[in-house]
Amino acid sequence: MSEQALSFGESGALFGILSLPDSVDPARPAVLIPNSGLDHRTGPGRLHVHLARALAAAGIVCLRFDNAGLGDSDRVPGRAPGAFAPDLRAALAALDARSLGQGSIVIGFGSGAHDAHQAARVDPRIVGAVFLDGYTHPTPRYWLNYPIDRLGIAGRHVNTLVRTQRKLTSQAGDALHDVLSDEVHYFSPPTPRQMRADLVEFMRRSLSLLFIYTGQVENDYNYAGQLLDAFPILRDYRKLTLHHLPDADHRFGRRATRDALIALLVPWVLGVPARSA
Amino acid sequence: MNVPLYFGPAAQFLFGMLHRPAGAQRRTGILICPSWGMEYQRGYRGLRQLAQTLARSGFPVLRFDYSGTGDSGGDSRLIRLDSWIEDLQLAARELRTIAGTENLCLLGLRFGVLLAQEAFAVGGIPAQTVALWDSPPNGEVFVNNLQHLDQTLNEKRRHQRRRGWQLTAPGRDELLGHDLPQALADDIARLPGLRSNLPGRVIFVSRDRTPPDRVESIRLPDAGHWGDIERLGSPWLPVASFRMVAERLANELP
Repeated sequence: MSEQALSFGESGALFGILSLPDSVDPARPAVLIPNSGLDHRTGPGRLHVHLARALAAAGIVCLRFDNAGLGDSDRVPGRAPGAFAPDLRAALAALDARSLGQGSIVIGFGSGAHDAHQAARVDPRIVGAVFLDGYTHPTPRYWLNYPIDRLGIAGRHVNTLVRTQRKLTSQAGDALHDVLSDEVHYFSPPTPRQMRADLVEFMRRSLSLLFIYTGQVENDYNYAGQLLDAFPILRDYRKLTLHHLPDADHRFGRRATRDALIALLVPWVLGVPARSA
Repeated sequence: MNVPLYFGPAAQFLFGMLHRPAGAQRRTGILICPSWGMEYQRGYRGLRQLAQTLARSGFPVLRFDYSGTGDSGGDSRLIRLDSWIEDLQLAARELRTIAGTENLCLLGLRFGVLLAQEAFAVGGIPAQTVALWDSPPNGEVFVNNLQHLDQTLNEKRRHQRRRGWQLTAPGRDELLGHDLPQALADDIARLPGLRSNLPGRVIFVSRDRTPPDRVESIRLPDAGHWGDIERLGSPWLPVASFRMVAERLANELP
């Protein structure tokens, strides 16, 4: 296994690290890991580093990279906040240009899962996607599971949102500066109708799909099969894998959960077929 | 221009980023010593911005990740403080070789201050200046602060979660999602605060801490909020402070 720094995208403004197996098999799909929230490419607790190195040790090329304005990538003037889809496309092109894989798998954590979803909708180079705490949609059972005492917690979340808003408008002299609001990833989840249409498209293109939900999103995803109840068209899709990890937090902040996640992801990636020629 | 670098032994390679000045180069190179753990993560983008601000003032600047952190090699569960002191020595040599500078300034942030002082004091780093940004009072206080934040965060999450969905308990050798083996925690806790016997020039950089008598200082406009649980996930990006420090160093270092 070895690593190389890679500048790519327009004028080389984007930056990432390639983890390469001792012997690169260009017939396998490669893996892309975009940022998760505002963390730079190493991921929370170096999760992306450990995952990339484990994949390379298993024979898979992996690029962990920084979206524009994060980590070591330059900002793109005039770019709408959180519009990272062009960066993922640039990363796909960078791998293609180097013949490092036959198709790509995007592993997205949190905001990265939303980027993976948006890219997978339109980009034929993507053969598989992992959505970690990606989009969620409520079901009748979700509401039944939503006990009244959670309302208190929901109230606290509202307070958190208010606090966050306050932070983003804080004045100079505070540690958060005027650029931060541009670097925060905002997203609008697709409507159930749009989500269904996207899933139909993923299935039509035969993408391998892995959805993982942690316990930290329990206010949005509160039982293991919620995704299947929300979108029954997924039930018979043989390239779907769904995991619910209620003892893990969104950032996989415990080494035990990070190690378990990597042990789950590597064999899944190895099982994703390459893009057909 | 930013140039990514790999240096050090192949088995435990170090990743760094050299920021070359756009115009004429000064005779002083600046080696940035980042903090550790969550503070490293919070400070990553900010230290890049600081490095670019300094490079625009003519300084070649090297940022790098200690062994077992960031994009560098090494197993974070086996790291001891001595490895990181060696890393600093390697990085100082790398900067001097690549940039061809005569003088060296170590600029440490938080834990990086304690490490830079230690490396400076034990020798092997021919620095003329050391800038200490938001230095913790000592290593024990630094570790205690992180432990306090870790406990507070765990309590908060426990309170927010369903009884049956509690988080996996943290390992004894991890802190806020980062490996901290006990031996390393002990090494860090033994690090002293500001040393009085540092060779060369010392510049104390902070908004909230008062510099010791007769120590040169830069009073910042921004607080670091290093003990604030609400800021754990927020980037540290005090741009006004970056400008102030870069101007001061540009006025005073060759």
